[in-house]
Amino acid sequence: MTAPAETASRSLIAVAGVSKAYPGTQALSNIDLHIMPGEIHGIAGQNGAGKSTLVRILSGVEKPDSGTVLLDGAPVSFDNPHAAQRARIMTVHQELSLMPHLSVAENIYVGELPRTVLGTVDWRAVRSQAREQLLRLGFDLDVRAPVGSLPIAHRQAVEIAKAVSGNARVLILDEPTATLPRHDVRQLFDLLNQLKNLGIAIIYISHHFDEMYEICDKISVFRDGRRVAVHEADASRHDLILQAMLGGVSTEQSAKLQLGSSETPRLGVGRTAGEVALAVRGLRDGHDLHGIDLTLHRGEVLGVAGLSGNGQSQLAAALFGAEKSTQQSFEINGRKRHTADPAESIRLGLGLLPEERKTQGLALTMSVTENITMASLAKFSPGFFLNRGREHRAAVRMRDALAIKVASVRQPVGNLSGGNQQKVALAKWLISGVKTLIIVEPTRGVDVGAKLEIYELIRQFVEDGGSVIVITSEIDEALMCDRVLILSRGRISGSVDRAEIDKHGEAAVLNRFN
Amino acid sequence: MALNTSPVLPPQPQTSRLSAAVNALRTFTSSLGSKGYLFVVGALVLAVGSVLSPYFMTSRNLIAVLITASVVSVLAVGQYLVIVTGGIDLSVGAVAALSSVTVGLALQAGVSWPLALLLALLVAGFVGVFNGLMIVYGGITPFIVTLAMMSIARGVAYILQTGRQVAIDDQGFLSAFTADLGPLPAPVVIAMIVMIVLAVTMSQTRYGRRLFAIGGNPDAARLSGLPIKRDIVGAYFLSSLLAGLGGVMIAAQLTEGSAIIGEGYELNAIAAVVVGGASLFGGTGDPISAVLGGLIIAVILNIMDLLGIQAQPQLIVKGAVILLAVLFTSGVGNKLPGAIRKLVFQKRYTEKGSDLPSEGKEKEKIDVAN
Repeated sequence: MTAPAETASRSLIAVAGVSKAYPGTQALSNIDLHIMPGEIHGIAGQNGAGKSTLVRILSGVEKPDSGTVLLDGAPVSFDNPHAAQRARIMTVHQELSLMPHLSVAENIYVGELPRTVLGTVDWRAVRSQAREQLLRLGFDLDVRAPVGSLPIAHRQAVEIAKAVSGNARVLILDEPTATLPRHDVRQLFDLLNQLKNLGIAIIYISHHFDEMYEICDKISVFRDGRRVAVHEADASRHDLILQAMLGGVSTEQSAKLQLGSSETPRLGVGRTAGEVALAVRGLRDGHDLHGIDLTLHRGEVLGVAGLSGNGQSQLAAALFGAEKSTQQSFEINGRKRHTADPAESIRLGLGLLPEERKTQGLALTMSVTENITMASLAKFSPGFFLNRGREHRAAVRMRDALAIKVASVRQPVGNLSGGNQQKVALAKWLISGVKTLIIVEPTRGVDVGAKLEIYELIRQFVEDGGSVIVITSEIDEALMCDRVLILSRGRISGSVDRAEIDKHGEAAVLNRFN
Repeated sequence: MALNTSPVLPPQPQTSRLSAAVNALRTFTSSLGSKGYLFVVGALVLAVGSVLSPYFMTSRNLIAVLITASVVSVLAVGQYLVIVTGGIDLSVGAVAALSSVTVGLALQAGVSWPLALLLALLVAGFVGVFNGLMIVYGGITPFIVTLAMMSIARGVAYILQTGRQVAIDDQGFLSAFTADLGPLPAPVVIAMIVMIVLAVTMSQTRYGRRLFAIGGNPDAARLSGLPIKRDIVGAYFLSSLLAGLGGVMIAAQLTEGSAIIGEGYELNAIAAVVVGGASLFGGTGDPISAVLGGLIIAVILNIMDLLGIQAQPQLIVKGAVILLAVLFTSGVGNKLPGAIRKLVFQKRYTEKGSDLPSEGKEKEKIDVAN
């Protein structure tokens, strides 16, 4: 192994000690990464692991809080994306950065339209060069068509053409094949190999492992803002890569949890049969869910596990009635659900703790009290007026019972840390009287201490007779459930029962992942 | 529940002369209630007025100001309801005009004044419901819907008026809306009733809480089962209804219904709401502050009238007042009190940002496998 400093200086692009924080979360911590000319380096990791933040820093959209970006071994700093592009770092972003009303050719050459001798735009050159770029990718498109009128696969091709036409030295691809059919992926890979031979460094971020094993040389794994592993890009490393991506509860933390008598800590009490709390057959939403059957028993903790991006939020929204869906049948606590509407679900005894508490679960400018009582206003207003005294007392009781760290429940909930915000969001449902709860990513953005407390609260809810569906991409949470369904590309691709989890641990679930 | 129940005490703020002084100022201002600064600004404006003009502090002048302010306040309270949900209602001036023409024509036709009033309010309310439905089910942004309605309502008012003068001479109606009720003129009493009813509604009822929630986070409100579509339509209904009431009040003052009144009243109403401290993004403020804001604006306009300042420069001052108000309540200036507070009271509340996933975990080595 060459010494780190030496390697960094021979690299084409590198980051050293880069950290970046956003309000409430540390997106990147002390990242060291270097990529050689002609290397295709893959980056794998869950949503929220820090991949997109790194891309934003390398492409000049953001600056790191600390650490440096190195180009050819020398530190560089980009004030804006244009500066990064001038340094010939081209990026294909996950959210397409195309202008729908401009033509294909205009999009590819935006900002650097070839000029004539007179200084006006040489439209003929723009069009012919654009055509050429697209043909290299194997796409024969009308370069005068407005980009917004193209199917998404073609739009992605234009996005890629835009990046590779810029004479790049470093190419960053963030989920480039998300919408490309098989055949087009081949063409892209041929092009990437050509670029590799020209000594261009390529960073390839994707959820599709088979692709990464094919095209990448190495794969770095990111988790919780850290680069936790780097492996050869080969299918034989799949288990190691998955484990690094998903992490696991350390034995020390398991001991702390003390939730159950078997080795694996438990959220539930093992009720996987009996009365049915929620049952749905053939759930479809027309885009991300393709026919899901699910049965939740009273008192059960049912895990729905899978890598993020497989339909988790859509499943939660469809079950709760927040988004439209079709199904052959849907029963909550024995009663048929007629309309897809959150208020109806709550009336039937179903609640939802969504993935993004800041944007969906809480009103950050409102007080802790007001958030806690938001789904139970009827309980606090006999007659016409709100009994604010009763509200306040209930909020104080919840604060003490859930150990929410806040001096006064009158404070806006936006002031609280992530873990405490999550507890407030949970308190809202505990006080509402619903007996069935769907929780998505229960401990995302929550520190370890609060994590354990939240697990305890869920367990308490179940012991008091509640039933829970935990939709999570964290393997250790899935293992805490009574039963686990695997969600893959909008379908349930398998299920794992308690006995298998107790016997095989992580492997029982990991084996079922793509 | 057998959970951690030990109370967490906030760390004590550092004691120093500066923080003690700021603390004292804070206590004084908060003893005036959250509207403390409004009273301070109001007192300031009154002081300036009495200095600049000898006619300002006369009872005749002050009553005139109050009467003007009453109409603005009624519209401002309605506007506040809409703004708190994160929307805006540009049509209120036009609705006031439409309502004044409606009540005038009804009275001319011999309808009894309570019925004429009801008719005007119904027309106004109908406009509001239409606005609300367009916004909620048509998916059109409030600014555009109410801008269009501003034009439509005024057009309808003109058509109804058909160029005539719609004089009002129904004594019952006129005395109901202009006579003194006790020590105060009727318009002032009406404005106060409206203010108190809606203030109580916002702070003490479920409906008010739901409006705050919609402004605070419409997604969270919807996912908590709140009927946000119905409530939003209701807010626009109330805003128009109150605009209709304002139109009737003006008609009584002028003894005529007219399609040209109320020009610019929507701007006055919005200005009153923002001077009162509500954020245009919704979720904050209250009706009383909106009324106080309206009063401050009415006083400023009155001072300018007394000083003989023309209508056009007055527009400049009105615009400047709005800019300053928004600057200090929603914009950059908003950060100033927070920044000062943070400086002095840094650890007063909970510790933010301590949800680093790395806390507590062992430092993990980079695992390189070849």
